Amino acid sequence: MGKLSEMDDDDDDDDVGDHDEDHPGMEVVLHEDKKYYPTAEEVYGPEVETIVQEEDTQPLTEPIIKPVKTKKFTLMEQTLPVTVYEMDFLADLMDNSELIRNVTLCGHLHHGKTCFVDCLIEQTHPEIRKRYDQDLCYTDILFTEQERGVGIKSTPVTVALPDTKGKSYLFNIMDTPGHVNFSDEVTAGLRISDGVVLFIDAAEGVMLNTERLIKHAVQERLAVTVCINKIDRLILELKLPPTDAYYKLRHIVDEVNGLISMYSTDENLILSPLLGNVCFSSSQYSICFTLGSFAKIYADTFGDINYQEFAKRLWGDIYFNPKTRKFTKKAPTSSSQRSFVEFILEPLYKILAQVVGDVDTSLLRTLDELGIHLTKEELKLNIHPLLRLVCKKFFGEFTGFVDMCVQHIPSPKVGAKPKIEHTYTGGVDSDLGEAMSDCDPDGPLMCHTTKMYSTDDGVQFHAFGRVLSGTIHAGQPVKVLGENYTLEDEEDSQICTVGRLWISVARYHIEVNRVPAGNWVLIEGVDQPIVKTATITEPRGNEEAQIFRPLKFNTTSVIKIAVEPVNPSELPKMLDGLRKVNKSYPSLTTKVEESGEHVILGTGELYLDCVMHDLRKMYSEIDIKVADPVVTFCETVVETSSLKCFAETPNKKNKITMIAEPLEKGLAEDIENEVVQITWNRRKKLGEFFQTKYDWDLLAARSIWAFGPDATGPNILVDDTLPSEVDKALLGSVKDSIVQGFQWGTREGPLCDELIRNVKFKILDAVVAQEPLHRGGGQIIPTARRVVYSAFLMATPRLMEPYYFVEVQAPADCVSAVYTVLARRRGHVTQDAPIPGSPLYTIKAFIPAIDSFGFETDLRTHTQGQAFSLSVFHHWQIVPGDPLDKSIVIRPLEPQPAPHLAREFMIKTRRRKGLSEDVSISKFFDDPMLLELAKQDVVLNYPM
Amino acid sequence: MESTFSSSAEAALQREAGAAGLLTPLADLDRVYELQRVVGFVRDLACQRVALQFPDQLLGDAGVVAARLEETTGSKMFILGDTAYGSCCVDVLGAEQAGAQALVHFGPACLSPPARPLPVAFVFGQRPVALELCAKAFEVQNPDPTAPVALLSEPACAHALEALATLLRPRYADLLVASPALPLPVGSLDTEPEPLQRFGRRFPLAPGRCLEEYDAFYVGGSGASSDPDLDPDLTRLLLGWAPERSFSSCCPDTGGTRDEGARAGRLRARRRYLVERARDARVVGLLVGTLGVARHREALAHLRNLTRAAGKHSYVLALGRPTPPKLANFPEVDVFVLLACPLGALAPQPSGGFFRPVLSPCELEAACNPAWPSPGLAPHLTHYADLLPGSPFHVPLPPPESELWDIPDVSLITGELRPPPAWKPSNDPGCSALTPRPQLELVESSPAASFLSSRSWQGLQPQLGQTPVTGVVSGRRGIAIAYEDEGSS
Repeated sequence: MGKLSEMDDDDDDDDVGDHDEDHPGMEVVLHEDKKYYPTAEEVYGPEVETIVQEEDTQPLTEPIIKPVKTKKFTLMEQTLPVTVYEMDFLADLMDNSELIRNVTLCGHLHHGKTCFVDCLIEQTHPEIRKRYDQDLCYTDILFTEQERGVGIKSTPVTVALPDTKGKSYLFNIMDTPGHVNFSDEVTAGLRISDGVVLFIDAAEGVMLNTERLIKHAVQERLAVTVCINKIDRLILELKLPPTDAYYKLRHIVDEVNGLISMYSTDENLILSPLLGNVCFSSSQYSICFTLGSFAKIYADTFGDINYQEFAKRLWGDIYFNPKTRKFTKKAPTSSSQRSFVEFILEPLYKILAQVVGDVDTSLLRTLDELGIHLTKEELKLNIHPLLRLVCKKFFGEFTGFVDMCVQHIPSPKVGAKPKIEHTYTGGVDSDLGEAMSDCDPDGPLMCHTTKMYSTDDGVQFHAFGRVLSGTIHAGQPVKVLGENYTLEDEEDSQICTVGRLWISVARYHIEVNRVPAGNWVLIEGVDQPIVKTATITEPRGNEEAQIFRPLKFNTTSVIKIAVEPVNPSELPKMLDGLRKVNKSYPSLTTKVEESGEHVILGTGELYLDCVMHDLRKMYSEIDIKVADPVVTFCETVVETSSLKCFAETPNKKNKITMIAEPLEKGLAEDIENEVVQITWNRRKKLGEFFQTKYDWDLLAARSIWAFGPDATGPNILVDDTLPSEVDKALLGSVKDSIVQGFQWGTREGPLCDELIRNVKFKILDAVVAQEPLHRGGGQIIPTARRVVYSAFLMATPRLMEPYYFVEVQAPADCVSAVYTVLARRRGHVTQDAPIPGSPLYTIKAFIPAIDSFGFETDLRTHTQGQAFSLSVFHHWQIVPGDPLDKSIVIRPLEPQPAPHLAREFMIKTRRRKGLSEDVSISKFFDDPMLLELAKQDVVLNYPM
Repeated sequence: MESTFSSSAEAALQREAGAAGLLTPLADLDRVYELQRVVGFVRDLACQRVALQFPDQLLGDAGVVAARLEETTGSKMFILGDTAYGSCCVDVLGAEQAGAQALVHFGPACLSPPARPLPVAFVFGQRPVALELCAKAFEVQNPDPTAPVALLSEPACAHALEALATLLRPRYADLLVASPALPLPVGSLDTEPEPLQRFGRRFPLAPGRCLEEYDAFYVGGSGASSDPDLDPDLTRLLLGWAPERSFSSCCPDTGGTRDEGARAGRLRARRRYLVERARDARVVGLLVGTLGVARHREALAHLRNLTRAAGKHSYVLALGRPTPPKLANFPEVDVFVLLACPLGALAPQPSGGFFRPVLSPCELEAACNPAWPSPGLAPHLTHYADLLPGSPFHVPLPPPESELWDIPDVSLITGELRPPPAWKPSNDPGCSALTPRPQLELVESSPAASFLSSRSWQGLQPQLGQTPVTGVVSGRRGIAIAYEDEGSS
């Protein structure tokens, strides 16, 4: 028995362990040791988890067996799709940087960027086809993007495309969102591209975002090409005669050229179809051609035509004389058409008209002539797919587009030098700079990441960027330099190990083990230390590496919402979510304000809506309360201080006198855009700038002490003391303290703790103690701040609010309704003009951002959904009314008349921040100062 | 001699300290200052010299009270005013200087245990409480008679709390009445199970219950709503009370109630901002805000250790009561931490504000200790003693090899990445043996030196080599109030 039990022990130990040796069944077993039922493990086996619980411990609402939940927010391919080229070929192309083009597709909302990429995808992926009546939107990978029908994220696509001669190029294409709220995504794409293709709707023409993007691309020093998309709309929707269609197209090209010459200093930068940097397309019907590629079709059909020479004669006032078979500048007969109309538009019109017109009778014959053969099945298709099919067969692949990019957008090798000069903070002449300018795959590793893509489940991030020199390998240790890294302060850097590497093609990733210079790459494993952008370099041996400049956006985040978890104990989850959305959105700011509110700053309503969706659903599954949206305000002055303001330090040994006055128009923006920098040489460059551009006198221009509250802050501190009155050496010894006091003061203005803006503070006089002991920071800093405040308050303080520029498109009968809606929100119209060649009107207007919440919805309601608007931050404007006028009574739940607004905004902001209701002015004035006020009989309508 | 650090002696002498005259009518003196009880206290101890500590606003009455007490007890009375730190703490040092054997403290008190044992009597003053109104207010606030509610009050109303509870007991089953945590009479043996002592109050909790289950009903404060500067006593209750329980306050005069939940939320949010500031800080100034409260040395050592572990530099500064000009003398310091009694640390900041924020020790702990529970889950401890080992709330620093130290996070103020501390806390800080460095790098210099080098004006020129060499002479000895060579004049 003993042996038996031992053997049993091996496979089933709890059963036999209790048995006595001698008499099984006869021993006395205590009640508690008795076993009546088999254990759960015996019944279900060891691999089944069994839990025994009291009844009702689990609430009824919770299922006993919860389904396993997988979070998924993006549409991804399950396996690598079939492509017309081998993946190995793609990888080989990556090694030849001259055959690569890094291109950003940008343009106004719904001008067909994503649809265009779909065409490219369909041409290279035989198995990916758009569904019958639905756009493919291959690059809208987020579910939210699909649902909203608008791009939210920039999405990279890498494909190999052949040009007209059949030579293949590797195209890294960034499809960007067209909505102005997401301009930051475009900026991230532009940074790693060498050129842009600007998409313009042929019917709508140049719109608000088109103009902004031209400016942005020119500022980023990128090559600009244009694709005039949706030309089918001119034919099928607007039904313009061919000549008018030509005028319309030429108008668009002229408009773009006008804008480019306005923003660019390079006068040679001209766009023209003749140069080949303008192409025409209709992504819906798979049409894309340049003059060259269209001429090639003629050449292929008729043979022995020099298509390049032919293409040069297809745009502008050139006519074909059929008698002499020559091109002339003058129309040979009054009825002859321009060559573009004759050779391009009219054939196009014919094809479209035939397909749309009579499918049954004459279409087959026409198609036969063109060498297009359709099966019976295909002929039975509906008009749209049929038209698409015919055009696809006629125009073939988008070789014209490829030609345009290859000829007019530099390869990474050629484009590297200007790119480095523009974005790299270090020197270009160093060895490292040379390696990057050469795009040297054997040089030291330098990779610039500009975007973070979250994984399907939103748990991790992958960094996306461009390798500028060297080659990045999977599994390699690298050093990640953050945006604050400098050679002096190396703290913001971390050694990480690269995980896998991918080439990203929207819905699938091609895993690679190395990526050489010039390419785009998606990197795993380095996300932790990266907040927005980063520079990735060798872990050692490349100590002189500096960082690439952080992104400079063309929008400003002025809309502010405060968030808070419904359940206070879920705050850590929310903070984690905030960190993640911060990574995911390039220009988003999340911060905690002094009142303890967690604030999210974004560019507009749609932007913040997307952020909140991600925060609530994707990154932290919790309930979050959101306060009503507000805007950031600024404080400013409109006059010069009515008297010199002074204050003594607490020890009465020092006295500072200042006045405040408004800055010259445009100066604040220049400082913010770093047109002028405080770090410039004070005597020469800085002085010269202020003397020439803003007419400052030599003395004042040279005695600028600081910008405030930081190096790009829109306020200036000037030392306006005279050497005959003030000991300059002594004053110099307290300069740091005064500057600190000035910066502290301008960071939190006296009205409602918001930034001071557009104010110049002049130090007129200063008494400084002789002994260093008596002029310490403790004495000077708080006093300087007090003088800043008193000078500010004596110079007629006002609040400033952000203004939006709004562009509304509406049919003529809705224009008056647009005016009404705008007027109700303090908006005003600046321009209202019909769009040439279309029944729509464009209305340009300004509207205060704080009154813009819900404007779009309101507009749609009042125009039965016929008007469409886009708005973007434009400028700061003074809020009407005196914020300090105590005679104004703010009644709750009542709209305030205009002169009361400043006070209303101020009081409400103060309340939100937990400050006392009104500004206590006397706090900032010394007693002698108050006496002085009384003596000079200054009329102060502010009760002290 | 007048200097940056002190105003001139003459000015201080000539300045009028508070209102000079009597504040309380003579007839009320007995009742307000509970002279009967004080006399009993002094007689029981039979001490010859007794110190009377008054806050500044009550100094006007001090003379008369002292005279009366001297008259009735026959002991010598000393008036202590102008306390070095907060007037809420017992000024043990002052009493010691006067050679007093006992101390009577008047006015609001933080009731933190003093560093040295000294018999102390507390007189809070007695504020009349309209019991019926308060009881009615209580019933409105708490419709559920079974809900657990704690009755709290400001110290001056504490006398009426038991009476209020008696009024309410018939209806409400689960009432917890807090009483001020007065020091137990010397020599009394605590046989009872020690009641829970928090927020300077004692809570007679039944076994198995915890304070986190109780809603709070606070009697005290004024009904006026727009008062941004809260009473520090209420502030500490609002901060420390469990966030998910409701907290209502009731004015003892009118019975007007208000829900303090929103205010508590705002206070907590503001404190969280300060924690963020502390996380961003590289240099921390530890302000000594008390010399009289127990365990302050231990707490100071703890905070220094904490800042070192988190890779921050710290300076210990003893400045007396902090004022903006005093603190602005240290521009290289990023945040200050005031190590003071709970009320002192929460006292409303003087107008004008500080150049750098002033935090309480708990916030520094939350910022520096990676093992500290995350915001929303961590209790807000108002007394630094709760952070020290031995307290139930103490969270030890994780060991240096713990991965908690390596989590990089993003500053919520600047939006930039905060790198993990550059060096780990070593177990033997005293070890000075040479250790090989992985890379050749400069030894980190002190933050003050690097700050100085970044300034455009760096003070006196050293004039190296230009000053004649002289021998070393011995300097003065002694303490500043009277150097040894100055004589005793």
